[in-house]
Amino acid sequence: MRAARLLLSVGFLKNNNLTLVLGIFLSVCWVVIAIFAPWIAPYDPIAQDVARTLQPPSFAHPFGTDNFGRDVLSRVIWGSRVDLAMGLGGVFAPIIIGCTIGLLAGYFGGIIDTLLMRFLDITISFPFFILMIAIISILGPGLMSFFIALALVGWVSYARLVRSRTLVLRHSDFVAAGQILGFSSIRIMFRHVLPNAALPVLVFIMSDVVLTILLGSSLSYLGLGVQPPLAEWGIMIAEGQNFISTAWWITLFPGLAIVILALSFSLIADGLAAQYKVSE
Amino acid sequence: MMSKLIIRDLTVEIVTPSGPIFPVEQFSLSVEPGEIVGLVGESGSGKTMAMRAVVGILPRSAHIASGEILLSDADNAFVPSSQQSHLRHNIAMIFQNPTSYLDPLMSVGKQVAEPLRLHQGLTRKEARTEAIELFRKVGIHDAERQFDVYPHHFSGGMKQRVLIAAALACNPKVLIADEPTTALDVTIQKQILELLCRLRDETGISIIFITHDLGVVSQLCDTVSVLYAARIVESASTIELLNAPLHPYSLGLIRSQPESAQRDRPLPSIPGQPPALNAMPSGCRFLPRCEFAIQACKQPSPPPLVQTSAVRSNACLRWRELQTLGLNYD
Repeated sequence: MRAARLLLSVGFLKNNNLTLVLGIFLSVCWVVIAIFAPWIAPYDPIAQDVARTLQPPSFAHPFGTDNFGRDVLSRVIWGSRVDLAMGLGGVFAPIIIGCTIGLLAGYFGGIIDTLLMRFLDITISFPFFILMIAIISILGPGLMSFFIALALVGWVSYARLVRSRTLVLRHSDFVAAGQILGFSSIRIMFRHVLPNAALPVLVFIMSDVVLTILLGSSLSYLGLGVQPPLAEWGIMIAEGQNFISTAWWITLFPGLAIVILALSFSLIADGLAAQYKVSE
Repeated sequence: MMSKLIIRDLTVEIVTPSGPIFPVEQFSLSVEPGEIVGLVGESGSGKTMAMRAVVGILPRSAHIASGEILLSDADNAFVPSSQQSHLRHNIAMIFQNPTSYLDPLMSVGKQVAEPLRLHQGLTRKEARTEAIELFRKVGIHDAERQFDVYPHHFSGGMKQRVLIAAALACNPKVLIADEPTTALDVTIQKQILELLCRLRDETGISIIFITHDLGVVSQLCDTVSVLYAARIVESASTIELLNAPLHPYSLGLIRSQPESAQRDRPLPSIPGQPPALNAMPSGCRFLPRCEFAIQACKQPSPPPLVQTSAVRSNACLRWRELQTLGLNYD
């Protein structure tokens, strides 16, 4: 990835960009926790212990236990796997579809642009969340349905972002130079226009990961996302809310986890935007 | 390997809400193999637009209304302009502001290697070697190390060399140079001009050199065509044109060169402004500014470019009289 190499070569540490550094640090922490979950988590996340239900935080169970006697800390740690996978995996298809549609529309213009943009208008004319719920209801709840639904509706922001940059870049001189050198349109679009349009997209990806994680946990909370007994933060909050007055720890800790994970990616987005003066 | 380029009656049309305008009209030019042809004219006279039409990068609003562009192939047979790919592979172009013609996010070496891989089917490694060879050819020192450098590390002159290297990567028969030295300082300008001359001598490439600097033309070009308000007004060999211009506009251009002016007199200039594309005068377009104008110049259509000798053509009705007057008529 040229964008990533550029990021490293410019050296974000030099500019004392604390926001970016903190964001990257927190995100890396979450990724490490997710990867090493089986070794970090003190208990099995789905092992029930009827003798130890609804125990408040203690040395044995730092985050307490839930109504089935499962260790909340272990469930939060294991949950990071599912939520990170949802966030990072969920933006994957929208990026590819959105960038391609945006490039095509912006570069060729004319009738192609009009058709693709009307298609985009139709997609965004439905409320995002309602459309997601509708698609998932048809496909049946689960992680795969969540990804498919996101692929169908999540691309619109990327398409708009890339199209607007492409509209400017297609008139730039280096595109003309590429045409003279006999490069194909596809080559010019993906090798020359896209990398130059990538920075705002990169910033938006970070915000989009946050939104996707929130969306995923919201849908799981509603019972449309990941299915119990799998540990996922949205499900944990949903299950814990019946006991909120007596056992606050069941909902508080997964809630905090969502906040911190979302915050870490938001910090990266803000840091990147500040670093490269991208206006959102 | 050498080719002759013939542009015949090329007219470019831009459709505007208030009717069509023609930034290039009946443009004809023939370029012999290994020849350097100068294209001189004021800003907006259609030099760049004509050449953009030749390489096929006209703005979206403009199109070629008529005319043909012919390039002879290896067997000296002419391939018609309908085969765009033939033209594109054999005509390369470099520009006034090299900075904006390089992709800022790709290393300069890759930008030269890319056309090599594409057109000559070289592998990544072969293309790299070949690109470094091209870098040496255009005078980039330490070529191997400069390969992975990004454009923003380079000065204007170096970027222009990179662009020339990329243009040469396609192995073109004709190189169109659109004011390649205007944005560079004088010493670099000299180096680039010498480089173009050397390339012509070594490879036999033909060069069309767009400029408004007659000094550069006199050093570099074999023949010159002078454009005024979208039309060629005079074509001749450089020596003939500079010593005995046969069109009042060429005459005015030469006289307004600081080098040819006399020290104790104000610099002569051509009075008035060139006409706007949407308000062309009828008859000769230079008429409102011409000191030689007569009633006959007001004919409805502009005077056509006529062959006055084997190698000269002219669009002034009074060229015979100018010939007898010579440069020192005042």
